[in-house]
Amino acid sequence: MKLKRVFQLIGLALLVCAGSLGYLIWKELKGPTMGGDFSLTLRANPWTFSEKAKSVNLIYFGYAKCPDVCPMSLSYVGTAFSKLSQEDLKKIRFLFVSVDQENDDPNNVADYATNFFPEFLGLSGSKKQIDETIKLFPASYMVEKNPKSYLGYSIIHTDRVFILNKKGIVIDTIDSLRDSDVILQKIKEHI
Amino acid sequence: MKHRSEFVRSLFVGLFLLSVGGFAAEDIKFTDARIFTPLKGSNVTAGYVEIENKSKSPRKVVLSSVEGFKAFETHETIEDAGKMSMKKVDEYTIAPESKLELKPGGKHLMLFDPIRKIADGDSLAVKFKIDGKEHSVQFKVIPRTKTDHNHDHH
Repeated sequence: MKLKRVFQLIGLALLVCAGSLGYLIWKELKGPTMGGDFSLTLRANPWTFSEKAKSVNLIYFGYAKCPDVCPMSLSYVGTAFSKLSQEDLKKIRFLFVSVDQENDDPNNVADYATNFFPEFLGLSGSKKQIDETIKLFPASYMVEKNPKSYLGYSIIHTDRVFILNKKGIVIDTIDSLRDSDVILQKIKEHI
Repeated sequence: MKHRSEFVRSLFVGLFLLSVGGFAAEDIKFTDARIFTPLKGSNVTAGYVEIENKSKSPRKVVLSSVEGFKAFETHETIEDAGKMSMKKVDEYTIAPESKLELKPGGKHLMLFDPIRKIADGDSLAVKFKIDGKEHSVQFKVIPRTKTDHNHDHH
């Protein structure tokens, strides 16, 4: 009787191990799943990722009225882009998505993005479009009202660049946006 | 005789006040004062500077005016698990014999709505009140992409 119980326990343990192993193999084979197609606007014209995507696409969420972090991060990305060859530039696209739907004018967002590199695209959209887009990625934003400030608010947002393939799937992340050489190296790994 | 001693006393008092004033003026030193040229598509920009407190007492720094902008504030950027937030602060405190560095991604001057065209190479007067005393510093306007900056001293 005792022996039967031991065998039952061993069988159960083996089953759990096999299940876990199977899940890990399935997860590995399935690959990354974050990301996807999304639709926003460029200067108030519809803009859909799947129609405009290049081989390698970079996306960053911020806002044009951000005085410190966004321009700093975008400057480093812009510097990295300026070191790419013309051939490489044909394969890559950078998207700056404004999460400040209430205050960022779409034309201003588009202009703002080009400050850092002429080919950067500054995208806007309705709140629904922006929220649906950001939900696809491991990113978020939150508007924080501040009546004591001249602007009246600030936005807490993710400060990361996501590298997407042509289908919009996240294939890599650039967490450190304070070194253009690190950014360049990451870009080159995917071109 | 009385006049002479009064003159000597006044001379000593004057020299003492002058020396105290001289030391006080050098208590605070500003370096790397710079403002990024406002960007197309945005009505805000930021200013940065390093402030050294050479005195043996803490100093409270309050921004009192910035030439060329409608509004100005002191802020601090805070990073938490890859998310950036910004907090408005009324003043900065510099510990005795230490430096306060206003730098990108940290403490900074936030400047809103330029009231005239502000271009690369301009020099703008920025005034701080440090424990009640006003300090005027010339900030150099530099482009965002430029990493080197001039050293402006108070």
